[in-house]
Amino acid sequence: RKCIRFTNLCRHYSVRKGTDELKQKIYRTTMDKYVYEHGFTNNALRAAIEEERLSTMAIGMFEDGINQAILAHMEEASIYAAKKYASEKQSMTSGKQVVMAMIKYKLEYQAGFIKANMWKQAMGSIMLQSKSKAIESLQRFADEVAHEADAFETPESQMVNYHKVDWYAKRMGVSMVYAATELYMLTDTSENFEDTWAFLNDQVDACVSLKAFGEEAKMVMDMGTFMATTYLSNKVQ
Amino acid sequence: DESSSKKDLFNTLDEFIRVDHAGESGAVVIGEGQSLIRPSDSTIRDILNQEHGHLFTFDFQMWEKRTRPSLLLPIWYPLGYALGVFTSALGRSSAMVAHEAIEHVIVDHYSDQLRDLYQHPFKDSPELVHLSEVFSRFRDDEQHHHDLAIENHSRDSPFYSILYYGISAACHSA
Repeated sequence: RKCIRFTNLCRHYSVRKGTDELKQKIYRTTMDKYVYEHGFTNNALRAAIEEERLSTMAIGMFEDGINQAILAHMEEASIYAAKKYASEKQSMTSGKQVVMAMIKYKLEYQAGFIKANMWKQAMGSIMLQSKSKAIESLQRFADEVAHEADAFETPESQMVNYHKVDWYAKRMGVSMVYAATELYMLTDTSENFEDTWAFLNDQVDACVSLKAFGEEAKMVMDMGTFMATTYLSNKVQ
Repeated sequence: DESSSKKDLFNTLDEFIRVDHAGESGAVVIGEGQSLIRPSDSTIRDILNQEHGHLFTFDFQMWEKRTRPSLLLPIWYPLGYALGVFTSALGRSSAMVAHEAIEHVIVDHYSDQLRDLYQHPFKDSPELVHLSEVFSRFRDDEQHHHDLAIENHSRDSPFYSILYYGISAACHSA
């Protein structure tokens, strides 16, 4: 799989030849076929391993069991979102649209399991046993989304201090919006998840308003600092 | 194996760029604090302009290499600014002491990083070669700032010892 050189997603998700390719194949088979029969349990993973004509002892290759297949699926969803955004970039008009589009594409990748009312089980399993890896995966996705939104709004010639101190705030904002929307989607029964996309729109709007509030607060602080230091400078001179 | 070595390379790049970016951010805010008190001082202005250039380079590297900024930046900004204002308020030679101390620490830091780069298993990769050229050039610039500070009578400051050793210790701990 060819990836952009420094896309964080691909940096952490490179599939090496040999063992990794085999593992990838087993994850695919597990998620496409056997979870519908056995649920998100190690039995689904064992069935996929048997299909590859390996001994069931090979489950020892997967230290986190079925959670590794779920995590692999989540990473694939993130990469799918990034690639779909790359192909539809031309139609975007604002950073807000970029954020909404990428979150929507990632959730759409998982929509099959959500519609089948199975994704709650996957999330529960991940949160119980592989919480830190799931959070890292979400952080990487949030970084990708925030980076693309920044790239959309900031021309390269103005990259100076682009990150400032809100680098972390933006990524946290995206993670929270994504998590809230995913939870909302679990109980959404509307046609094509229309209510979820409306909820996502509201969440992103709220973040944008918060950002504007933050910028105004910063302006007030900067003005106060400038007045204080000008006073001090006059006193010294 | 190859994949974990490449991850090692990415982690090395991340760490170097993050640390140096934080350092150059600190240098810029110190310079800005100093130029607030002494806006017409051409030496301080020249040093500040060069530090802006360094910061721009690391900003762009951060963007390109997808490195996260240091978590301590919100602490360095006000502290650095306060240090710049304070040393400049004490007098011109005291402002130069700050530069002498900081640049001495930074030159050593860049030298250490260059040594690490030359010993890295991926030292011939284009990213590390480019980075070592950048570090080499910036180290020479910082050495020039150090020498400029001495030429501008930093050692005539009545607070030389306390400022020099205090600022050096603070930079080392940072």
